[in-house]
Amino acid sequence: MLKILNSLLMISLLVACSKAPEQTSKIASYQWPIIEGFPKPQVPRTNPMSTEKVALGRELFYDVNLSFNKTQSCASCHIQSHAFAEPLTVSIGSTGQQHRRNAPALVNIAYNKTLTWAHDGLITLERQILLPMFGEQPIELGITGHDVEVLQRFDTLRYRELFVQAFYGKAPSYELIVKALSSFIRSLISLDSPFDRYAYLGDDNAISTSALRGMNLFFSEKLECHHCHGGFNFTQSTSHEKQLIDRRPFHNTGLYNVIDPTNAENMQAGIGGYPKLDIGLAEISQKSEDNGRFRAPTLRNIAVSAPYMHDGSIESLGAVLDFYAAGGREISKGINQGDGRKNKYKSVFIKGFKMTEQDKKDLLAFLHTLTDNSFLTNPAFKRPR
Amino acid sequence: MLIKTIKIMFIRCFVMLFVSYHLIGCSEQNTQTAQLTFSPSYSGVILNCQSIFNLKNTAWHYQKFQMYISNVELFEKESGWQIWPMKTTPYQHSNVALIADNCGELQQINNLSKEIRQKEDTNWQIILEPTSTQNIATKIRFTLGVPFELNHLNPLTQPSPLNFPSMFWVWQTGHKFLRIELASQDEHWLFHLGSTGCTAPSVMRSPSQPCKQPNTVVIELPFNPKNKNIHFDIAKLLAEIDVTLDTSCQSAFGDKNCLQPLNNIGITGKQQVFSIEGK
Repeated sequence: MLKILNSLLMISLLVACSKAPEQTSKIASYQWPIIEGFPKPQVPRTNPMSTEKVALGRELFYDVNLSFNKTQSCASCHIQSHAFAEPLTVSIGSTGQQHRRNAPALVNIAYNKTLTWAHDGLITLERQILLPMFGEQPIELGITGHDVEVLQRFDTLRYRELFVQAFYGKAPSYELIVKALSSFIRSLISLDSPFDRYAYLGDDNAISTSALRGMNLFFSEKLECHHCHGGFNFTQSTSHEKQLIDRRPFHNTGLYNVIDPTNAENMQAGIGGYPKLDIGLAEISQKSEDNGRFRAPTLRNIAVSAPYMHDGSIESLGAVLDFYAAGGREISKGINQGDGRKNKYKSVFIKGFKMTEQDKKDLLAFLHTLTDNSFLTNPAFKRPR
Repeated sequence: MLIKTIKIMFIRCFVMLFVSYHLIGCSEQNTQTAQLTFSPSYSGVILNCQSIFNLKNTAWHYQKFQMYISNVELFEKESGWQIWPMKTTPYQHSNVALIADNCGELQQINNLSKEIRQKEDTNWQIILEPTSTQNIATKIRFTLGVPFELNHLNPLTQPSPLNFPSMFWVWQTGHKFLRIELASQDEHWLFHLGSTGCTAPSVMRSPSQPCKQPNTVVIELPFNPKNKNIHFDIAKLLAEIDVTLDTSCQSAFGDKNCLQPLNNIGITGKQQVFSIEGK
């Protein structure tokens, strides 16, 4: 009996302590253009990066065949020299319909925790890209209703070859188009600005003394900028391979406080919110405290992606600084009349601050050090020949 | 016959128990629980993000509660103070733990499971390596804050939880050791504790010498092996503070809004915020 017991114990020990063989994971050959020490972005397991997918995605990104009426491509609203944003207040789709939002820059999107201006559940590009492609409100590329016709346009010798290379012989499909576009957009990495040379490569001469002063101001508790625009990507909404704890921050900056004339009680109490056209995260969450909350965008290349804010309602970087110094925006006339500074859901960090002319110059000088010229002119991101 | 059956059953049970002991044993090393639990409270009553407490007849709640606890030590007569090492987890590294409640920034996401929400959003425990000292220790101490050697490093190359942007100022000043943000219907109060007076060529450079005001606090408490629940009493933190007037302190040296919070947390006064539950 004792013998049996002993052998059972031995077996139990052996079973308990032998480790399952580690799963061999495919090591992606794709080389991220990032300097030593920077964490790599996290990519969905179902769509690992490859140079072939990036190459196909680039062709598709610039191809007007992706819009139903062959008038627009992704690049129509996402222009490289503007950090893949555009100098329009809000975007205009392929039918001429106006979008309610400003085209966000496509900079380091691979690191984004969430996508679009205000959606806490939209966390992969593969899902986000469906919006401009198939969305009907507003119509952007307008593929819905024309999907067979649009897909047929990619049945060419050139594309068949690119699809074969990127997807091991598979024929063009929307799933693969989305995967390739996602891969190209993830490849748009900008980490080679004068600021990076100063901060991460230790080059003390990479930025001017004015920019240095501006940087110290930017990161001061007086200005509080870095509470929302913190971390290496200048947005708290960042995720990467070493970021194991999830946070999805959204903020109300006091841009609006529209008094609703249909609500007499609110009128009297002076309680308003963001314009009904766009109430930010509250539209998704259905929570009143999320009214006016939007994702803080990265500030990398911010100097070239004017105009600013989710609706492009601030024209210049200088005006943005004035807006934050004032602790919000008061609109005295028109349909959006109201004092955003008093918005009850405004972030606690938007308190306003005193800023001298010199401070402002220094802050602007600092923000310009985030412009990465090699990104804006990178031939690998240009329209393919 | 019956006795024999009982005997066999007994042996079987014994074997089962032994097998399961070993199965657990190899993944856990030791089944003895070695963890500290932190709870935010208000005058002894444990709070969560929704709990209301009254300040000047106004209902308040906390919106964010995050802090770094480092270097947990136990005191026992024979061997004196001994480090109680932490395990490495996403919330713990190099004997630094992040205690965090982010108050449901994830709660709005419909497709996340409850477990993930809780896992990602809150952490109230410090998981430690089991030690025999934990059964006989009489005192415990730990530091509220991150040690200087770890506080000012490149956050990009740091392991979790030291790479957490919302708990990091800049290289010069390092991490926020405590980040507590309270809200009422119309008002906010916040306290961010961290080092100040750190000399560096710019915000993006590390100081080579310790900061003038390190603002770390060593908390020493009686230790009861059976009660490892530590309260963080917000009422004690707010003692003599008018949250409607002294609206925020971010540890700036000389800021009058910081005088009382720094006193109450134990930088300039005697800390009373942390206590063992029920004491």
